[in-house]
Amino acid sequence: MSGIAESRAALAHPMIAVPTHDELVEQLFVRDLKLFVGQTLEPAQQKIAAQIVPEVAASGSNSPVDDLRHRMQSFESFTTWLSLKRESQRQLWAAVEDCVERQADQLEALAAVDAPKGTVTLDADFAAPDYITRGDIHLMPGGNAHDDGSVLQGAVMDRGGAVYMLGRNGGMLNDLRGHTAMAHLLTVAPDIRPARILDMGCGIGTSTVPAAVCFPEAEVHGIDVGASMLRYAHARAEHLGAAVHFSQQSAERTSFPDASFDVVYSCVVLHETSPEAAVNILAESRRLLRPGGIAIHLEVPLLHTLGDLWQELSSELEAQFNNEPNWRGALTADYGQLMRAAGFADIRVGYQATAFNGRTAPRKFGEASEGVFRSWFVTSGRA
Amino acid sequence: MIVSLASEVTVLRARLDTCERLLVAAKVLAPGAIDTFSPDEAAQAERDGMRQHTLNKVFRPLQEAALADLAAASRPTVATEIQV
Ligand SMILES: C[S@@+](CC[C@H](N)C(=O)[O-])C[C@H]1O[C@@H](n2cnc3c(N)ncnc32)[C@H](O)[C@@H]1O
Repeated sequence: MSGIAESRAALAHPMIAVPTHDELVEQLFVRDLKLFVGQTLEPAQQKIAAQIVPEVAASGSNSPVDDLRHRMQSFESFTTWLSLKRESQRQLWAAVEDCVERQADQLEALAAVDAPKGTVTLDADFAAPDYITRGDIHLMPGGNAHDDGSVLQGAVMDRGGAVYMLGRNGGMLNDLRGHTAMAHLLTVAPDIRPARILDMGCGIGTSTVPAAVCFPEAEVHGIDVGASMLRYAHARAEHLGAAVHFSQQSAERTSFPDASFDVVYSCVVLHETSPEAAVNILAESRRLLRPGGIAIHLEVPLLHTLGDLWQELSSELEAQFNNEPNWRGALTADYGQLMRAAGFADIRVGYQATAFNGRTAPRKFGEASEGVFRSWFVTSGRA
Repeated sequence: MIVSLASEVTVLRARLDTCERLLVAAKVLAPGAIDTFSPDEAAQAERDGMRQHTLNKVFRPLQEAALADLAAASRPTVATEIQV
């Protein structure tokens, strides 16, 4: 296939679904619509909120975010903005699904890799946790655990993420979070040479491959709940030349023996679980570490660091209108406390500067967020 | 409104398809030339502009409604009306 603005050969990895002329234009349209919703309509709502916040403050409400929301709801443009936010996200998946389904056979053929370096282990009896099956996270039809025996759900997830990156520098690997986690590891343990690394909630392996890139000698594992995602993750990693062992397991309780990893990490997983599951995942990451091993859990910025009522409301709406099951729970948690309770030492809580390459990135970790996408919230600890 | 718009777009699509087929038959276009067309940078920039223009034009009423709500929220009398 050649011609259209992104031919398969020009892409960072060949597993990604390639759009036709019309599909690409449609995806660009959806991207721009989402930008319009976020950058034109949302700022007007923010200004309306600024007019109302003093009233909320004066009312002395003990749930000011709910109060603000209630007052905002009397404006029709507020509800219109929210409907369009949801509809544009649904449109994104509809566009991506058409594109993926058209090339299903081609993707299946590409996924059949000869002499793979890594593996994928699926469990037909695996039951995904409630918070995964209750609603389709990010409104992706079928959700993360969907499986029809193919790689297509993984392909949909990958292409959906790529739509956000169309026209931006840096390709479509969507691997900044994994690299940032590795940059944190090298910030706290510059000389570490891990033998075994585990990525919890690896999705299609966007966060896992960076571990293999930064530590080519290490045995790298990734676990998640969805068979289709994992099949795709395996094929994708192979095409990227990374040896990764994927398996279908819950991060709350895995089948790996105690003390079997040097590094265990997760990237933006906790806000897609539940408060209880997050506690279990931290505990499991502690159980899996050998003495002296390091756990890292990376998230989007915590809510209090956002600083104002509108930011809190808008991120809550993002959670609700984009189906994020544990947004508030994960982003208001006291991670210092949770990590101590999980039995960690040398606990760190703060923000790691976004890394394009975990090995070579500046090792910058501090208390303050540098803003969404410029840094990521990270908590880490030693076993 | 949406129904007639959908019908218009369906007619447009069919007519465009006819044009493509006739152009291929007349050997003006190679088969698949449109599907494999890749705009150069200048063309891509123009197309980006066209897309933005259409989007802003079609969704302008939503932006205007939001600004009207903002003006209403900024008037102190209205602010007391929406007290709960
Ligand atoms: C937002 S995605 C992040 C994927 C990847 N870590 C990244 O940064 O690109 C969160 C992932 O966590 C997975 N997840 C949620 N709960 C899990 C659990 N209990 N066990 C394993 N994976 C889980 C979801 O299925 C999803 O793929």
